[in-house]
Amino acid sequence: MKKKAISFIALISILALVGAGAVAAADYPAKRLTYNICFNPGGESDITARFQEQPLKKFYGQDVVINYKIGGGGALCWADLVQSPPDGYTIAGHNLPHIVLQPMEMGNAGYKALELKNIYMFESTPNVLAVRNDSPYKTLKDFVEYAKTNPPGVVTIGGSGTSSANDLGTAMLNKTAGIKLTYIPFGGTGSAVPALLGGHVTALMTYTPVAIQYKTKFRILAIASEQRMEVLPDVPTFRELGYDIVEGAYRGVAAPPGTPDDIIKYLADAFDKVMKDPEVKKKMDQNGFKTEYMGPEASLALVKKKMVEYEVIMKELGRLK
Amino acid sequence: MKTLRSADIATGFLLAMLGLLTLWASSTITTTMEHRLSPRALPYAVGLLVLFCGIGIAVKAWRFRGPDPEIKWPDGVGIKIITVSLASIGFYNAFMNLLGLPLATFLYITFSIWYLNRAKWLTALLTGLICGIASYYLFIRLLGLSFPEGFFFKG
Amino acid sequence: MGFSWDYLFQGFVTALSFQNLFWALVGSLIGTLVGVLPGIGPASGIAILLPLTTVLPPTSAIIMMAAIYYGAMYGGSTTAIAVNIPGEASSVCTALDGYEMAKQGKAGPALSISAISSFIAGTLSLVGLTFFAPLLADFALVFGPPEYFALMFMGLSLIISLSGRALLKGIASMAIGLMVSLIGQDPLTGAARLTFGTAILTAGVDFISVIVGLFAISEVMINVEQRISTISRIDIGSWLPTWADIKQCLWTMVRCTGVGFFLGLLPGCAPSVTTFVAYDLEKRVSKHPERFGKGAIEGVAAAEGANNATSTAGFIPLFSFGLPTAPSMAVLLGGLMMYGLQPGPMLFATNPDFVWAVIASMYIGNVMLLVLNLPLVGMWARIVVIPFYILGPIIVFCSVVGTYSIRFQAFDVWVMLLFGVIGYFMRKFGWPVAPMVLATVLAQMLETSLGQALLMSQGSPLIFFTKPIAAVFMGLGLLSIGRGFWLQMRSQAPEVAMDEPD
Repeated sequence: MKKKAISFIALISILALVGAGAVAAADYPAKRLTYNICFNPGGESDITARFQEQPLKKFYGQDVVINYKIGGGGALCWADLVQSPPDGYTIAGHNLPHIVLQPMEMGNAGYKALELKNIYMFESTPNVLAVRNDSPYKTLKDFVEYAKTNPPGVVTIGGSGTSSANDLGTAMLNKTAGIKLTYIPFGGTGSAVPALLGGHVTALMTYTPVAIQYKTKFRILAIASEQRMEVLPDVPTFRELGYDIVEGAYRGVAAPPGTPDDIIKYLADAFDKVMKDPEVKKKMDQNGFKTEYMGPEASLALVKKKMVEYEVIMKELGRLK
Repeated sequence: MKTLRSADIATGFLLAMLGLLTLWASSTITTTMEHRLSPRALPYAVGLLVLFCGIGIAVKAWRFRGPDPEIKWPDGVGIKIITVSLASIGFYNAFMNLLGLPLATFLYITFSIWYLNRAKWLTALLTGLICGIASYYLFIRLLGLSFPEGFFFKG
Repeated sequence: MGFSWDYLFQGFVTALSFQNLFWALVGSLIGTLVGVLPGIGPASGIAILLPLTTVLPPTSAIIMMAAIYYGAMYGGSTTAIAVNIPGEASSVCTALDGYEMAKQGKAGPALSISAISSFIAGTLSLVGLTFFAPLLADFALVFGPPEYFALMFMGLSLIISLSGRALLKGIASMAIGLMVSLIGQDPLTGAARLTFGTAILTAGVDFISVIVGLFAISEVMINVEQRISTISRIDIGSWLPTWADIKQCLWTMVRCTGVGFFLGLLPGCAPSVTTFVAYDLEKRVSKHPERFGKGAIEGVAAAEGANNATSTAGFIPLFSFGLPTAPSMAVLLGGLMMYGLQPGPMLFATNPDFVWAVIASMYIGNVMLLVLNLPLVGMWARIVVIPFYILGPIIVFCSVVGTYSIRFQAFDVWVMLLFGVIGYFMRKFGWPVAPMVLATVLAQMLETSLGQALLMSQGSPLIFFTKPIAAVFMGLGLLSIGRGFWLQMRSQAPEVAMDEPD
């Protein structure tokens, strides 16, 4: 009886597996695309996905549904993605530096950075250093001076999450400026903002969208991009000011390992068209997201480059043995 | 575990064990970052709290001498019904991925209603059908949630 | 956003247009539907439904989204009362008394009072929002990490009164709740805790699955064990509450509005927290606190009113600073961005016509939900007379679908099942369930704010007593704990351990 049941289950599973494997790439896409978001609704990843949703339906050629898989700072979603069928119907948003740092730091994150198959990197949000409008620090120099006149650790700086681009950016600033700011991690960019508005932290290391949204309340001292950004023309880069800091978050989409290359290419083309849609571009610009146009190869190269970079930084910071 | 006293002693003991397990698991937490609040601090605190609560409940019950209420355990039939009901929920969940939400729901509802009231097999079948179909159109089609669809509805 | 009658009047004109009324109605209906489903909370509910609104002009769309939000908040109480499935942490207190009322054949009055209380609290809060928003907005910013920790600490001290006489079991129940919420990553350092090296536990245990297990599944187990025929043991009486009921709840509604409204101004203070605070307050001021948890109508009114007041108050920081106080607010904000509106402190200064149309539509939405739901009460109330052999499996079906949809993984359903069994034994052994729920609700914010505050103070715990607001809350919490233990000591005698929780 038991044996029979087991062999029956085995038979069904084999049939199911064969069925799943037999999806022909020729008639792709035959059904709707599930686009998983790894962070809270209302966060940067979600907002971008919402901008993309309508045009993506058009360029993908079928329905697109956005779902949330939230937990473990994104790890849950990516661990789930590497387990998903590689048929091109399940993709997920992915982020740098998260996908590099999590497998590095956590013993078992459930996925490895290179297991995620890159489709497209569509945006970046460089770090910015923000203080309140009414604060006495008019420039980065003022701020660094202030940190130096105080005992190390007294000046606090908020940001989104631990081992995030905000966290790393703060660590780099500490190192290059020879100061010691205490970094206070918050649950997300959104929950760090009231801490600065209410004066509970001295400054924020945050992303460009905050600089745009709160331009009447915050003063942006510097931006950690290579060049100044069009939407923030008056904000100098850290490099201009003599601090070699270029750091920020990148966002894109990835597919499960083993997804056929022609499907990846199809999806990458769809995303390329979405990102070049003038309506999408306008919304991204308005809200401080920097659009990027990196296809599968370019984004893989970026991930690999960042893996090397971050390993060096993390070792320097003593967070990696 | 016929009376509340014996039950309290047993659960207190179990709880204390759980506390010890938590303490052990907390001692294995590793971190490479220095932090004001060590990631071990709260797990240790909660582990200790669970341990002390367990000991407290067990000791209090042990020392208790007084009218001891009996626990209303189910009779033999009740135990059987509960076991089968729980097992069927387990099967429902375990086979959801393979069968898909609509089919698994149909099977679960039909079986459970039939099991709870054998005479009503037609009600069982109809309710099962309605729930199965509704689950497909409501959750998968209308709301676009990514439940497993199963082989009947592929595509 | 200064107040002006002109703007408000203009807002009502816009909101009362046929098109906007229609979309508000559609939003309320869909929202109620989403709210009835456990697991799909208002946040993901609105997010899922956002694409439906894209065909509309911005004002209609945001009116519809706000209506979905309201409807979802309301819908949660229905399943909590009728079948003991609190689909949201904020409906737990509603279930505590509402379901007891349903068992006593009073599902109708329970559902009606929750609609009425929601309406009154919602409308009173809207008045606060309309006239005092600029004055109140800054209140949202005075709370930093130390203040939040003190507030959460005070919240935890409610466990003393929630556990009644079974204090030790209540604390143990809380401890287990805290332990469950510790599983997963440390929010500040990212270190994996109590995961035993598994990847699935690293993502943590979602508290919705814990709640649905403790309430719905264990209730189904008890019911099938006793082979009950229907949930309501006696005939259902009137669908509507009596005047005496309403009069009894009138001050409750005012008090819970106050609690829900002021706490709701704080970012991060979700309805799940404020409903517990309001419920506990009612229990304390009541002349018959022993009735709570056994079908007290004020319990339902307090929880539902606080829930709505909190949701409405959340619009104040949203309108004034662009700050979302809860995930569902963040989704609304994201919705605004989809329409090319710029969130942040400037949004509502530059688009007053839009803001006031939304505020006006919220008044209308409140009325609409009341009118929509009161007639439906008769239908919902009949759920309790459905034979249990049919209702039981359907309750399980809803619970499974709900917990599965949290993160679309079977693991959460297993957690629900486990806590169903745990809840079953807790009922048998007289353990209070509410402390465990409260602990899982508060835990994350408690530990995050503790860690942040200690970073701010360079490790000194004195920060909780040197900041005045924090000190007040810490004092209240310590007082409440001290009083609880003192009462426990005084009533003495080991037989306390044998008491059922009241």
